[in-house]
Amino acid sequence: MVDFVTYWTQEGFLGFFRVFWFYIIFEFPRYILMDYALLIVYWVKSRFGEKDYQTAREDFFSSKPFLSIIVPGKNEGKNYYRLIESLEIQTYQNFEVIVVDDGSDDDSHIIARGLERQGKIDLFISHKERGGKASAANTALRYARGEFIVHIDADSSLKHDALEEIMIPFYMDSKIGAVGGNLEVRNPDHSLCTTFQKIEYNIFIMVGRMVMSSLDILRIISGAFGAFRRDALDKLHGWDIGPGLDGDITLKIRKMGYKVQFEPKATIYTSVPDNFVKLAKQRLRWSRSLIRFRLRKHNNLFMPFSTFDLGNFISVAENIFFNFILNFFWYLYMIDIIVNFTQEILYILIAGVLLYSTSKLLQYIVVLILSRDWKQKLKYIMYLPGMVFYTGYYIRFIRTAAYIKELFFKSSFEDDWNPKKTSIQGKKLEENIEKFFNKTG
Amino acid sequence: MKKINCLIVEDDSAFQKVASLMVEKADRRLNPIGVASTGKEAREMFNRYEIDIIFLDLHMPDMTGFELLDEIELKEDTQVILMTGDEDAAIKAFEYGVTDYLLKPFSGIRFRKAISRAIESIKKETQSGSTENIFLRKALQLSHTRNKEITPIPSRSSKLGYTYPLLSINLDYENEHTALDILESADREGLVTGEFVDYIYSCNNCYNSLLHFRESCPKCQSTYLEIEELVHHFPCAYVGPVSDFTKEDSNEIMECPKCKRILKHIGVNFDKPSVMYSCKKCDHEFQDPHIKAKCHDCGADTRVERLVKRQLKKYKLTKLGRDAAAGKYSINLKGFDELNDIINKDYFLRLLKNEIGRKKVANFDSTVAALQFANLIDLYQGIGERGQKELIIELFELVNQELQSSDAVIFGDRITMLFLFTEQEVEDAQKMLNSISERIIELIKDNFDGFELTTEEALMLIEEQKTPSFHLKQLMNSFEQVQQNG
Repeated sequence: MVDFVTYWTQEGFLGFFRVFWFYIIFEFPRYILMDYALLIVYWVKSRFGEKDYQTAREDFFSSKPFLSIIVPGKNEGKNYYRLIESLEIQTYQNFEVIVVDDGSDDDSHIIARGLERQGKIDLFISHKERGGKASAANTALRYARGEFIVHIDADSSLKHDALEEIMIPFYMDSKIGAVGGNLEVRNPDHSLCTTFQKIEYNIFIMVGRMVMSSLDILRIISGAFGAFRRDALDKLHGWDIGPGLDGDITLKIRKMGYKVQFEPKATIYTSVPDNFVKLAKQRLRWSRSLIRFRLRKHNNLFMPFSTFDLGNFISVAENIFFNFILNFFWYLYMIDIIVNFTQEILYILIAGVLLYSTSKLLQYIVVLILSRDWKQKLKYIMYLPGMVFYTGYYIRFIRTAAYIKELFFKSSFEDDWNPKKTSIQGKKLEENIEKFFNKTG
Repeated sequence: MKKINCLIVEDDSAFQKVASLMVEKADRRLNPIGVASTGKEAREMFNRYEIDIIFLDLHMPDMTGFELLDEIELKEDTQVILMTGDEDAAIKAFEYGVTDYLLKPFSGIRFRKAISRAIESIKKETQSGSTENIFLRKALQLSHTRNKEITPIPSRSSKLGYTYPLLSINLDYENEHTALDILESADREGLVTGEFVDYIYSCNNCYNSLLHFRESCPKCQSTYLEIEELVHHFPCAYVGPVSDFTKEDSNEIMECPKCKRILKHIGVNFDKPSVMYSCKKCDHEFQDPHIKAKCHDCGADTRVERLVKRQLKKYKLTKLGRDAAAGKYSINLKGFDELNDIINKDYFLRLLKNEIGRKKVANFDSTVAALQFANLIDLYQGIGERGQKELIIELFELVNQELQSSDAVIFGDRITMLFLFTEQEVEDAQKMLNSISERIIELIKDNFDGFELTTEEALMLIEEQKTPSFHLKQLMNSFEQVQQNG
């Protein structure tokens, strides 16, 4: 211990910088400085924006738009009841519920049909053949009658005022085309795995998306809870084949010239994978979509086409730089440390844990400040050192694996998340587009 | 009431005459078939006629009375009245289960008492000699003598779509469906054994099975529906009905409205994952139409879930059934007419008639009322015929507990209760009715998973110049109005 202290006193700030340059250059400004900047912005906004908010709320309730809540999914039967119950107690009630069952092989369609007959679901559409999540969502969209479409995942349930809160931003700014809700973990105390995810969701989704939203570079409206202008979705004819269809449609809406916003007050509770193996599978799927949509499908965002927009560019570039490039760059950093500091590796490791724990704590403080239920969240502070390993290594490794697989093998087309018939078609289409560009370009 | 056949077995000619005379005088229902002087004669006459009461002398030239009883096969309801001078035979007589034992000489009063006791026993046995029992016995006899099973035959002209020739011949069109009840009941009693043939669905109002089936809109009940297949275009994940993909001028080519590509072959780049219905009347779109069955007999248009579903069986006689056919066992089906005393409009009309008569001579106000449970029908669907009966009986008993002894209640039909509140104004009757309907709603809620019973009520003062059926009509009419307005 004494050695540890003397080592770092000798090294001084420059030595510290030499070792933790990766953190100081990239991570500290992006995650700590930005969060605290947001905090100030948010404080100012809520200070002066309260009146706007109240006016928008009144506008919303007096115009009382009809909402279509669409719930596409497969084998979700057991979850429907809880979701429907949470809808029944909403402060805003002018909506229809459309559930689409995407070729379930369990009793989901029986459960949903029963709920439809009881009048708890307005329309239930059952596909005998599985078509993938996008097609299920599009089916719901085709029969939706609402002015706004609210997309909800079946395995979640809404906070009592979530519908109201997700709708108010549309009435604060008419340029807003889509609003994303805040995801909270429903089962945080189930296992260590779910606890970590709870903290992760709070730091990266709640605060992270608030930061991006206030910078106007929000790039994803979560499929778990997102509200869309009907006409925007109609122009796009709905979602494209996933995975990553949430991010895809968000980008398309941005490209149409709409603003996209995150609303932390609109809270939805979602069940998360309760062990690390299941979690790994889920994250592999999520991470692959980055390549697929950011790099391949929307690569025209980088080109000086007529559709070019700085915000969109930054939105994508930020994502690619911090999640993709830095992800690989980190390995170089690791090699740098291991090669150049072989002797001192233990000191560095301890210092690293301390540094990153402090960093997590700083981030979590922002979460606490921005949360209405901060008292309940206080107890998770003791898990923050564990988060260093969770996000620093576990999540990073999964992400790397996903990127490599997707980059070199285009594996998301073979993902069993989509039925084979659509994956093949998706791949073909993309090949045709590539051919076309090669010829003309 | 049919005649009661009597046989007098007596070797003393003087006593023969006395007995015959006394029998004739005792009760006009008694029908003296004849007089036998010997055991042999008695046996012959017994086997030839359906004898209900035997007046038997123990001492005959060729055999004793007991020996005769050993030789003949007595039906269950045959009554035996022993007449003898021998005191010591009494115990043995009762071992034989005789109805009465007359010690000679006996008084006329004693004799008449014996006869009325015998008639009483016969009445008990044949009380349920209702039409169902008679029809069944005939069917059993036909089946037995012709050695044929009781088999359902498909028939367009029959109400059930099937007819049991041996049984249905006795039933008019309106009541053909009771053939099933009779046979099921006979099966329960062990007279026949049934073997499954088919299921039939019939109208829950009139039991007609020749129904007209079609889909209807769950919202507006219209049957004017259009069915369209949904198409899922794989490359762009668009899903919509076929009409989204076809243009008016060219029905052949399907073009995706989202990505503008031409759909090639089903299974290659598109499929049809399901179908959608749309109502041409109210524009409602759905996948789960109501299937409704229209009864062309009574006009009822009901959802198929609410039709009456019954098993159709063919039946074979059991040993007991053959005995019944041979007249050795008297048929007494249970489960019939249980509700006759509870669902009985005529009874209500009679009560009303009396009340109107009373009102004509004395000045007071009485109220009649009706309580209708419109959605009780929904509840009935799930609980079956048996459950319905039990529920109706339970409701009836519950209401009777609540009512004052001077008031009366009866079911007019399965969902309507009729009340007579004697010497009560409408207001008081209303109070009673409210508390009764509250109790019923509570009972149903507790016993059927929180089922919310809806009640409608109608009350009116009895008008002495109007007929009973006018009152009933007024009450029932008010429900129809409520339904139309709603």
